[in-house]
Amino acid sequence: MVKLLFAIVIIPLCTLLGRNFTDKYFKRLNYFEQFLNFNRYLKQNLLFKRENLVNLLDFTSSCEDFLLTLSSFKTSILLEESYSDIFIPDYVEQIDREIFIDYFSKIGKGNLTSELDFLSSFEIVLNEKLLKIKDNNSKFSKLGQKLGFAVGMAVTILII
Amino acid sequence: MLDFLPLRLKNQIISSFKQLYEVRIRQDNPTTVKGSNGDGLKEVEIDFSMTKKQIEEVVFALSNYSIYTVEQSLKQGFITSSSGERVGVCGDAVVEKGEIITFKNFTSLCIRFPNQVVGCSKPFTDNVDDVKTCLVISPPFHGKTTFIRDLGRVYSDRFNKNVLYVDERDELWANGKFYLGKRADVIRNATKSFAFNFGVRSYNPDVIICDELMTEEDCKGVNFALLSGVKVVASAHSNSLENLLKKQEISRILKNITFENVILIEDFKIKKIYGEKDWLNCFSP
Repeated sequence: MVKLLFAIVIIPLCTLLGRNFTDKYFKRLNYFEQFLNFNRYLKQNLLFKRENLVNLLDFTSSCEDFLLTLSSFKTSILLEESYSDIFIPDYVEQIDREIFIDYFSKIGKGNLTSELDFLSSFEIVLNEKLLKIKDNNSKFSKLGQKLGFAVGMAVTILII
Repeated sequence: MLDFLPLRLKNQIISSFKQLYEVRIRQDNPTTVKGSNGDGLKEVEIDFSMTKKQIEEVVFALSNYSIYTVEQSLKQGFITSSSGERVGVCGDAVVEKGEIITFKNFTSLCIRFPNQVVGCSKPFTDNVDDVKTCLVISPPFHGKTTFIRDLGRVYSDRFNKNVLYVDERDELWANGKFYLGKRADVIRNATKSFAFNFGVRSYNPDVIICDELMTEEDCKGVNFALLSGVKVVASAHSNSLENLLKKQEISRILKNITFENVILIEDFKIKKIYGEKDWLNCFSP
């Protein structure tokens, strides 16, 4: 009975631990999705209300890391700090980090047409990156979960 | 106030005078400040020069970090700050198909502080018992905007008239800095020709106040409002009635308009008030 209870606990626990190891894939996906939403939000604003950028940075998002990115961007522009200090989470690869910093250093600085062109081309880039991330996720994100489950099963079999 | 400037410069400017009128910033040159401590207009030089990059950062800050929001005014060479200062920008005009689409490589800024002098129109309004159609003329920086703002306030609060301010450059309301009267409505950032049509058709004003008639289209707007039975108070740049009428772009339309009074302002005071007869005499052969 004790062994059975142990099995009930250990298998989900190992699965969860395994999933945590590959959690960055999910976080990265969420972060990029939020970035894409924000970019679309800026585009919609340009086409209609044309509010200033500082007001638009009070964007609502389920991704805390993305909110941190926006608030650090706001600090950068208001305090005239370097854009390279903008918070970008570690799970974002270096090349993407540079693209994002470049994005933040350019938005708000053009007229309507150039701003719309820039946001539209960035949307294409983001969409391509999202596709790659989704592809990678399907390959690797379940791997940790499966490995964790396998380890849990192995431990259970060894004990039983 | 002046939040778009570097903090040190801002503090130096603010401490220069009790009442600020104008600040001029030029690339790699000292900043000049015009103001008053109650003893007349004075100018001082501040030992703070800005680089080209700093001036560009100021322009970016002026736009609330969103150049697209000031695109239309930037085409005309100015930006109104969120606290109401009007900032003229100098640099390279970017021209496309013969039209200026923006400015770049900013080299100097001219910051003008709008002022409200409650009661400055009193010498005129004390002698009238109803709204008059007026043209207020003065050279730049002599107080005509301040005068028409006060005139509008009196028409609203003393004569209980619905006053519509046509504030194309956000100088009259200055982003909410000034009290324009309890019966005042403001249409901002729209062209005068649109605002006069909109006002007459949709807002039923008793009087329309507008600053700086510059083009034939502006004058046509005034004419449209007057022919529709709405009184108008407008202003124009000139140092005399005669010189005003030499401005071909506006005189052609102005001669069809009957102003009940033309008020010449100089050094923030009324210099002369012309009556309707004087105005009509200008056009008699």
